[in-house]
Amino acid sequence: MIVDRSHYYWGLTTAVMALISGVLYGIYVQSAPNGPSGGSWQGMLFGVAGTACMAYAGLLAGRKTVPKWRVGTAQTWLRGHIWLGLLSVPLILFHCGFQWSGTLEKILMATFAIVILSGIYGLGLQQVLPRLMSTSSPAQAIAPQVHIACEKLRQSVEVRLQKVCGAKFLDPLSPAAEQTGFSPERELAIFYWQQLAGFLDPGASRQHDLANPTLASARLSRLKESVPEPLRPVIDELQLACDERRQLFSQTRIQGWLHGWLCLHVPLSVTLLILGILHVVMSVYY
Amino acid sequence: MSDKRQLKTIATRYDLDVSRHRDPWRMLRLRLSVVFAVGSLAACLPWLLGDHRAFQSHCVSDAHRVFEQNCQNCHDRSGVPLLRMVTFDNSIHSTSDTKCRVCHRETSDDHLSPPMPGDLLLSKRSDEAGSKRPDATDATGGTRDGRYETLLQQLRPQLSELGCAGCHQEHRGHSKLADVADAHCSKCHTTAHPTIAARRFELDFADFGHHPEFALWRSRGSAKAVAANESVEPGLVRWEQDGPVDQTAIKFSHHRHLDPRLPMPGGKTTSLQCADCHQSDTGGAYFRPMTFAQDCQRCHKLGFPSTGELPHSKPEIIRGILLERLANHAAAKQQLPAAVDEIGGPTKPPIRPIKTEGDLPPGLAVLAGDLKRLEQQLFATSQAGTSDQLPRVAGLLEAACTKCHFTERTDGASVIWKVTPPRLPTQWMGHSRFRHDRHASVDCQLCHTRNGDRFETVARDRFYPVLSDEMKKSPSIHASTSAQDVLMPRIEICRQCHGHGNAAGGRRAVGANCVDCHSYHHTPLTTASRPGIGGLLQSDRRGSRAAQPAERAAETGP
Repeated sequence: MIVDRSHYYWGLTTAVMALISGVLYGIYVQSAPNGPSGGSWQGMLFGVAGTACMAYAGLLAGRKTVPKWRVGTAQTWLRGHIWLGLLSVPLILFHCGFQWSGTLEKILMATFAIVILSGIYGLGLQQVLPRLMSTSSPAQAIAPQVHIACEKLRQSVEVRLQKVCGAKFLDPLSPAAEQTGFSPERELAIFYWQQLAGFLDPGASRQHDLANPTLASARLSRLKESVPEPLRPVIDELQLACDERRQLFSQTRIQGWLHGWLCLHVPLSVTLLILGILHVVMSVYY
Repeated sequence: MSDKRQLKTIATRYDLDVSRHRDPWRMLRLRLSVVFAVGSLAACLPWLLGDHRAFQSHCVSDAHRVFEQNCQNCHDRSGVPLLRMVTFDNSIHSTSDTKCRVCHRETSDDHLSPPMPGDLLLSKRSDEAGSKRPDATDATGGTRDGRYETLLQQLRPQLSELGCAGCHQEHRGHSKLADVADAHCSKCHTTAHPTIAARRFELDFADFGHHPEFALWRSRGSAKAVAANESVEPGLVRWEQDGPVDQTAIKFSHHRHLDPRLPMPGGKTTSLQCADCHQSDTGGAYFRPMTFAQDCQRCHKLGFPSTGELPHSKPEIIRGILLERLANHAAAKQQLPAAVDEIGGPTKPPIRPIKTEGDLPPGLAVLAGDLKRLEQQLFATSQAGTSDQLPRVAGLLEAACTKCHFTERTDGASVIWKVTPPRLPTQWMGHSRFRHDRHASVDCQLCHTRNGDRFETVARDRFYPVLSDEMKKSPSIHASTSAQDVLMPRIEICRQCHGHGNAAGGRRAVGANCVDCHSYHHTPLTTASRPGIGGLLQSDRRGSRAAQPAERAAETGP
């Protein structure tokens, strides 16, 4: 989610709430003979407030599973996830009085810190990467269907080349084809099977020669010079296919950055939820 | 880079039924979430089923570590934190006083037992109604007794509601539960402050930064009180116009004994250090009482050539020894027949011990005059030890009692000389505690200065061999020529290291909580009796008990 002017009131409200909490915490610390404690009623209130914020942030995942429910727009939930999640940081710190000595407390605070930091990191990425993707990879595919896009791209290239090369396309290196000697169609088919087909494959490596735009351009230019004029538009189409495949590579990489942090953020949020429940139950019990 | 694809070609390259394709990232997150959830639950299972220590916020105090694993030993109420939050009341605890009293019956009774604060005090007040002070009426016209009653009415519920856990809070990371936060002390003391008639205690302060000057250095304040030599610590010091005067009845000069070329028998010299005489007690906190035998006798022999060396004992015993020596001397001089054993054994001392002049053998009654002369020499000769002049070396071996002690004559008694008990305090500042061993890294003279003034670095040689008029004003202990100098530090000296805040903006290395120096309502020097608040406030009326004489020194006076 892009943080823009539409977040102004959310940010302002969060800042004001954090400020008010800070003032209340200051008053509480001054009046507590033994210093702040999560077990005092003031500390408990901070804890409840912080937990409520975290719970709201965590409910975003639940909200996504039932998109048809009319419980606020997805944007509202996402804004709440961001800002209330951030507000939970001072509230939880006020709850524990900036101390974490118990084993569970240490684990909780470490998990909480990683969740928050990974969330901030992810939010930062979301401000940059979508724009970067739209400029560097305009030929974007639907993320889960990149492999389909690659396959379709390869098929379309093969259909085009088959039209141009005819029977020579399928097996350009067969003895029968070799007896015919040099032909541009055969050269085109050899280039495809030896280099382009592997590059257009969904499982192609980023280390492929054609993944390098300069090298790809050089090879295609040489091929273009070796074929007669009628075949040259086909080479241009191959150039476009290579570009698109490279964009899909780029998109896959950017998608990795864009979604990779969630592999830490979400599982640790689940852990935080479980440990938090344990903390609440045991604290209230004693 | 621009997208050169046509919409139609784009559309043909995808499966428009998106729901058939699961997002691999989402699937990965889901699997990881399940793994993390199961892992965290599995990791917590041993804690849930057995050892609950992982759930505590801080370790318990050192003394409670032995049963730390069994939470139920102390926690006998559940859901209390929730109750605390709902009722906005932090005085509700999950540990009841009953649980504390299982092990701490004596100390908890000291704190909260019903007879603790009130009745005794009120009766004491009534007994002393006849000796009410002129200021015993407050601004509203009520007597302090009335306010006292009010205080007690306030204190009773306060202390009852607090409970043990009110002040001694576990799971706070303290190694000792007795380390109670200052606010717990100041909360009640501020309330109690206006009710204390005799202002020996200053209670209206929150922390060490606002701690009043030590009682030792506070006068009663009024000119009348100064004129009457009335002091906040009457047993220890006498307040005069120039400041407090040590009331110890002894003559001693630190200046003379710290001379780097102190004369010794045999023409030698030595240089004494503080620790040569002030030796730690077994606990290391304070110093063992000074005694003649341990600390003085190696240099100072009591007696003269005419008396021989005498033991450091009571005047009655000294008199007996002198009489016996006189009798033996006279017998030898007159060649009287010595007492002989009936069965022909060796010479025996006189069978009848000579304790008084009446015990003298016939013919030796004239020795009574010699006895008086010797006693006069011992008990009445002016041999003050406060002179600036160094003694003759021989003088070290010719010491009368009056070299260190004050004596008085009591005509009509069988033993006419009496030695004033020196009243050496075993502990100054009896309402506090101090550990010298923890301050061993600090030079003694940095804290122990004359009149509690700040130490000035002055070369030791400037005080010797003769103390000049200029150096007489120095706060250094080397300039202390009289035992009347009070050599205890003022609070300002402690604050050079101790304190949470610094008005000057600097940092203090060492904290200073109330309990670092004070015990909870224990009468000084008698912690075993544990009198509680009642005892504390009664001691306010009784006057200082801090200046208890060093019993040993008093009993074994010369």
